[in-house]
Amino acid sequence: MISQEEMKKLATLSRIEFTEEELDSMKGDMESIFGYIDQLNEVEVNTDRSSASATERTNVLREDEITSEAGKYTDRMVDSAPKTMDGYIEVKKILNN
Amino acid sequence: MIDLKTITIESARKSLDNKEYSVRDLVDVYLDNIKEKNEDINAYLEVFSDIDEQIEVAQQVIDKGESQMITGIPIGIKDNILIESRISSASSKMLENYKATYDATVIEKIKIQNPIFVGRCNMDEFAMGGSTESSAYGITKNPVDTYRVPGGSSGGSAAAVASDMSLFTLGSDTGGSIRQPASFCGVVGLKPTYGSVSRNGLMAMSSSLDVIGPITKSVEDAKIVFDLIKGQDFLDGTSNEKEAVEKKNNYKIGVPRNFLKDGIDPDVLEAFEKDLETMRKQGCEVVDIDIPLLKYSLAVYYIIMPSEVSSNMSRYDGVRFGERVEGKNLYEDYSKTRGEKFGMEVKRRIMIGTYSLSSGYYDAYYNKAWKVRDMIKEELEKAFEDIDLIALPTSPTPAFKIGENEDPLKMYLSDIFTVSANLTGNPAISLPTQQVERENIKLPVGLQLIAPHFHEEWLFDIGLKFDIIK
Repeated sequence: MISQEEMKKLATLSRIEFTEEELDSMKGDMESIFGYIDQLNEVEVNTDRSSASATERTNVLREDEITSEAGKYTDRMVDSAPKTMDGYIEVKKILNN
Repeated sequence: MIDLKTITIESARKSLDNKEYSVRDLVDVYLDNIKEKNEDINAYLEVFSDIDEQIEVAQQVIDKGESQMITGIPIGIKDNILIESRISSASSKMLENYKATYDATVIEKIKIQNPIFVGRCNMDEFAMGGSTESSAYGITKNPVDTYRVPGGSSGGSAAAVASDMSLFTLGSDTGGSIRQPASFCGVVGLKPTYGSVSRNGLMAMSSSLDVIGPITKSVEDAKIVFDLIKGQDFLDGTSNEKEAVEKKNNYKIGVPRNFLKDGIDPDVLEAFEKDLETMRKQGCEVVDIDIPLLKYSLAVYYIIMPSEVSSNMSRYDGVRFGERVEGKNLYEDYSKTRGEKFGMEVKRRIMIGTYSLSSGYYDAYYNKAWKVRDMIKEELEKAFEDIDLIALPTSPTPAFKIGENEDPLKMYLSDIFTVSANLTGNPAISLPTQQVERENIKLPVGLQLIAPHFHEEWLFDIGLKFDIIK
């Protein structure tokens, strides 16, 4: 069972606005899906197995250096934004003064 | 002159180079099909407006004697693979007008050969679905039976090939999204080894599972396209390449019998047995095997995938690209943009992932799922010590009717045979080997073969032993 409170909290974490009906319907879907997923409780897992272990997983790194020309892609990237001003991406106020 | 029933990349290449027909002749046949069928089938969301220019360039290359394998060949690209300055919307309202700012690596590799990019193919929104019904731009119909779905999420890509609206297409496969539509539409679909094809320029859905792959009419064509798009890429840290493996004279095929006990259509099972018999007759040894943890693949997938989705989808916030819906404040800009521009399936998976990753549940769900994933991978590796390939039906049913699978869980259950190969990274192919009859229409059903990592050659080799249904 997922509570209504929890559903609202998840919606906030997900940054998604839902209507009451949508959230209610979503709750039912999720309970049904997690009901299916619960079968994983049947699987016994070695507790000292870490989740990122088992097979050879290595990090692929590169040198922390800038390899592209400054400003080469700026126009193209900024043009993709819904709202721009003077070559900057415009958003609503972030800081409260 | 141009026989669509027998055409392959190689035969088209010969004919174009021998001047049996021109690029214009070839592309026109496909454009005629698009004109006739696309409004109904909706395989293409957009047919590109510069096809004439592309044809001119390709013809010049051929005339100079500089043609390469796919010069002048008409192709479709799934709507989540970026082609510079063209719209890529992932079939979502969120990216309705988004123009790609760069080419995906696979597109770069293809572009230098001057194929004809015909258009972008419809899909389930952000690749989330198994029927293409969640596209924000309308469903795609299965060309074999237009009352049925083409499968998903690469439904448009599969339908385009099946209805001769392109000679091949590129799709993406996260839990079966190339193989299942290939099975439903009666074409070949390959999910390569994870990492063998660069994901740079593929809109990320679930980053440890996503793979780009070809959808084609023939096995030979699947190999040609795979060879073109594969390779390690500096821009994809998860990419890798290995030396080609030797073909075998005979393959030992393992069938996970216990996994086929319930939830599978009896006609599909019967068709599967026929395919096993074909392989026996060709000299393969077919044995029953047991992979006990395989049955938990779907549950593992439906935790890991939505978790990664919830993270990957966070970039769609209306700030840097895509659409923006204005609210009272910054938070509302996010929540209204995402509330309005994402479809319900996308939102569902984000919520599932957010739940699985949230404190209090992270250990029980996400962490546990990864441990089981690794255990499944180990079981598969162990199985491959004894056998060469694993055989399964691609899907437990043939293509279902449009609107039939409204319950999300029921839709998810149809991925049961395909998700394992994504969890473990193994390459897998769906071959259109059989048909089952429903209401007097012969519906395609695919045979799925899974190989050890980087052993695509074995999949192609076995594929050639079958008479592919055309």
